[in-house]
Amino acid sequence: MKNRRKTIIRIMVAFVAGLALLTFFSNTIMNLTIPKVMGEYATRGNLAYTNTATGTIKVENETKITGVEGRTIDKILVSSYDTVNEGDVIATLKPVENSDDLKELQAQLLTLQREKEYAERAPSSNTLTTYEQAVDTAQDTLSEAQEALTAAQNKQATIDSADATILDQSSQLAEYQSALDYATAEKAGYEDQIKAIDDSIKPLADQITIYQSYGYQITIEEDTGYYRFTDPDTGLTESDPVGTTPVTDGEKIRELCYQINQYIDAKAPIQSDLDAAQAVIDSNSASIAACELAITNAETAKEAAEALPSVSDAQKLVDTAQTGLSTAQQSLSDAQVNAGIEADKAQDAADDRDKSIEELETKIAELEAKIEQTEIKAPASGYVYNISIEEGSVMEKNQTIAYVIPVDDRQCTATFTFPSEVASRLSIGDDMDVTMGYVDSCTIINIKPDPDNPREYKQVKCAINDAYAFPGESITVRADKSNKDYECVIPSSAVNKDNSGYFVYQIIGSSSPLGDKYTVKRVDVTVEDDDGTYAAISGEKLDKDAMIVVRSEKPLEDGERVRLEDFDSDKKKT
Amino acid sequence: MAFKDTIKEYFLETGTLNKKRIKKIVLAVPFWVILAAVILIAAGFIRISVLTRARQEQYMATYWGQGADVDYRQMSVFARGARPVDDTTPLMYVSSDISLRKADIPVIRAAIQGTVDASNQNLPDKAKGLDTDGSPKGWEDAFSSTVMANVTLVYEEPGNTDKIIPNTDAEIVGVGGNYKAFHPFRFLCGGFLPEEQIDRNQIVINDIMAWYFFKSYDVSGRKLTLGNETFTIIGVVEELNTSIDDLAGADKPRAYIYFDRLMLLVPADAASAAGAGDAATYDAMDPAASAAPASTSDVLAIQCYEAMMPELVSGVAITDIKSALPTYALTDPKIFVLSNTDRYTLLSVWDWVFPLGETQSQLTGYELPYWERAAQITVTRVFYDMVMIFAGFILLIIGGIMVFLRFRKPKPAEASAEEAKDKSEEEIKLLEEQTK
Repeated sequence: MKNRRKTIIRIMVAFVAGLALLTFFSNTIMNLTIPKVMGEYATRGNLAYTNTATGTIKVENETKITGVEGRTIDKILVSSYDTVNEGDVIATLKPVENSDDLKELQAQLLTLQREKEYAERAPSSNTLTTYEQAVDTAQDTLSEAQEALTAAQNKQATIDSADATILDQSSQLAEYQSALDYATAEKAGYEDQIKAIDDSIKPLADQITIYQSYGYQITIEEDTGYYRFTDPDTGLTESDPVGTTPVTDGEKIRELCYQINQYIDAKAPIQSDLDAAQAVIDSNSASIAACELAITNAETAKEAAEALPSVSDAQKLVDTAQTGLSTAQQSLSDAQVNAGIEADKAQDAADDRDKSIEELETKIAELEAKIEQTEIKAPASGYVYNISIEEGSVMEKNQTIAYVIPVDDRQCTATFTFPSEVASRLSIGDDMDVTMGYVDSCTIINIKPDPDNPREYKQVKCAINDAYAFPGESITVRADKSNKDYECVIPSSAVNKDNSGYFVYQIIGSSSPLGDKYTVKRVDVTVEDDDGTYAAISGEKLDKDAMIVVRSEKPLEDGERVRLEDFDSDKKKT
Repeated sequence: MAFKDTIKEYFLETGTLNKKRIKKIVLAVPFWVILAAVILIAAGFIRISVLTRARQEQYMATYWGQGADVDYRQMSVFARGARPVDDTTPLMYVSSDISLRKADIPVIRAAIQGTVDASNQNLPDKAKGLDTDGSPKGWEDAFSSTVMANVTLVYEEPGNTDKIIPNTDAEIVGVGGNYKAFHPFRFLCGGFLPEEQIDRNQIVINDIMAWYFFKSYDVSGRKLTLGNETFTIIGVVEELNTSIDDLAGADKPRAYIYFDRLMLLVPADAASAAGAGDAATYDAMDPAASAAPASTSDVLAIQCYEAMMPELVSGVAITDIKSALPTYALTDPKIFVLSNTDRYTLLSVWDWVFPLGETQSQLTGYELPYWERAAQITVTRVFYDMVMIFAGFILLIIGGIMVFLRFRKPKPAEASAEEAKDKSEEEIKLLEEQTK
């Protein structure tokens, strides 16, 4: 019980002590949560600002001294602002110890030249022949397939036609055979008759031969075969009648010739019939042969037609052939395109190679010239300045190693950038007010838009007149100066802006037994002018006797309690 | 053997006492658990509060929209570019799908202005549309890009030319639009670059640079050289300087200039390679005879575009800004868009962290400005604190259950057993005292 009482007493004492401590430091603790602000009274004053710009002096009639790419500076014989004459040696160059670059370029050139030669000697190859042959073959295959298809489509008609032909020719063959048989029989009859006549003529002809052997002139006409005899005694011929009984040899011969001629005359029509029969035989034999041939052909055609595939199969073959042809044609087309591309590539490669060869030749020539160069000379007379090389440094391509500026008659300029509005009040020929830098005069010679912002800014180019002006010096000029009085001027930092416009915070103070209390009150204002550092403001509700918050620890809100504190601007922060 | 006997004797003598001590400790565990839980939760909430309050630039929509009927949402758009040389070359425009440039700003503004006007039907037609100078109306935006450069002090008094001229490498932030509305500086002197340019060679420096050059913060009117041009200081600002800001690289000399002036730091060959025109070829007297040179500021890439716009329906503004970007592809975004407003809520933090590594993967290739790096570090730390709070709540539940078990009314059988046990222990204790 005692322990408990003691504990309670201890707690109460600690509570009272804490309360006293908090009360003692309450103001301090509270102040920690209140933002510190610094206030100033608005003052009557003016806002003065100038429009200045800085430019760098440049010499227009300077001459560049260009270095030799890849060469190392041995010694520099001049220093900045030394006077040199045209042709004076500016620097000497170390000899080229390593001509690997040149050798490499020469090797590259040789390689390219060899490539070119080989390419020119290489035979032209026609890679399309195979594809063209393939297309021809495919075309033939398609034609055959189309013919097969046509034949297949006409198969039945062909068979029917062949059957009809066979039938027709067979009947004709029979007729021809019959006629042939008849003519052959007739021919045999006629031949028998002629043989009988010839047999009759033969003994007579034998007798004539005997008479001829006796010396009688008996002639036989070659074309007719007639026997001609003229009796030398009587002068009678064979065609003259002989008596009933011939007596003399002449008469006998005449009689023989007459008989023979009679036989010949009798034989002539028979022979004619025999020839006609032979002609019939020949004609029918030919017709028979033709019929047999036609039958054979028809049978062959029939067999061939019967051996043909079906229409669908033939159509498939046509399709396959057509596909094959298309593939072959496509292959040929692709090959032609590829061949064209390859040809173009080859042409491009050849062009590139020619160009490379040309470039390499130029480079080699330049490099050889550079290798032979031992010093760099001044291209003009004057001051040397802005030497950007050191002994031992290796120069780069087109590197400007220094400039030469004339000793007299230097045309120095400087370019300044001003807002367009300010520049509009400037004119060519005006002298600018130089605020920084030492030159005799600075005269405007040109005004043009600023490439950074052509609409809002202008570049003002000035001629610098000063015998001691050197390039690289900076000068600052003033274009105009504004100075205007305002009733309320406060630091710009006091002006705030939110969704309803510009405003400032005025500090409202009140005193109480616990001390002074400050709150801020938002007052809408109009910003009449602002030079960045100070702002001129006006406002109906602006109390000119009230302090305005110019700096605060944190953003404030209307009615927020603050504590006044003087920021010591020159006190270094810890 | 003697040691063993001593131990045994010690436990015989103090066994009961130790048992009671252990029992007391065990019985007190629920309260320790609850105490640890409360500490974890409180520490977590306090740390989150401190971390998020320090990131004032994430809450500028609150200040911008004070007194307005609608809520405003602050959003940032990060685009990419290329630096042809190193970080001393400004970020250069690469292509429309991954980069933004100043020429895109009017297009974006027109699109967003249309959306803002459409959402405010009561606005008279005259009040709609962009301002005559092309600046937003009823909402605000800013854009910026950073580069490293050497800044040199200008001695204005004659005769000082022989002195060693102080110079320092500094981060140069080229800004456009109302940059000040998105970045709450503490002004030590002067003000910030006015939206409407008066002198394009004005510069605002931070306190680190001011102290380095002048050993003072009251340096308005003094001059510095940057990129061979002389700049006039119009203000000195102190940026956020928490440990996270330092970690993000904010603690270095920094200066703010107009966005276009970053061109001073672009090497001539890079500018010409990017298509900038040659002023020498342009004849001002006869513009028709020669084409006007292209604006070289178009070759500069915008690193960060920021906007604050009214939002009638929660979450719609982010869709609007994505739609306003000229080449933003919803399916394959190559420009990173995020909402600064509500960035540190539970869902936003969860979405940022999970799936693990996804956000970092999306941000690969982006150069983020220091304030965004600081904001991202803060997100990570807020996540850790949320985990801590979650662990605290788990412990709180466990502690509550333990307390409940501790104080629940025991069953009669358990109670009698407990009483008997206590009684026997008291008897043993009494016996021991008597023995002594």
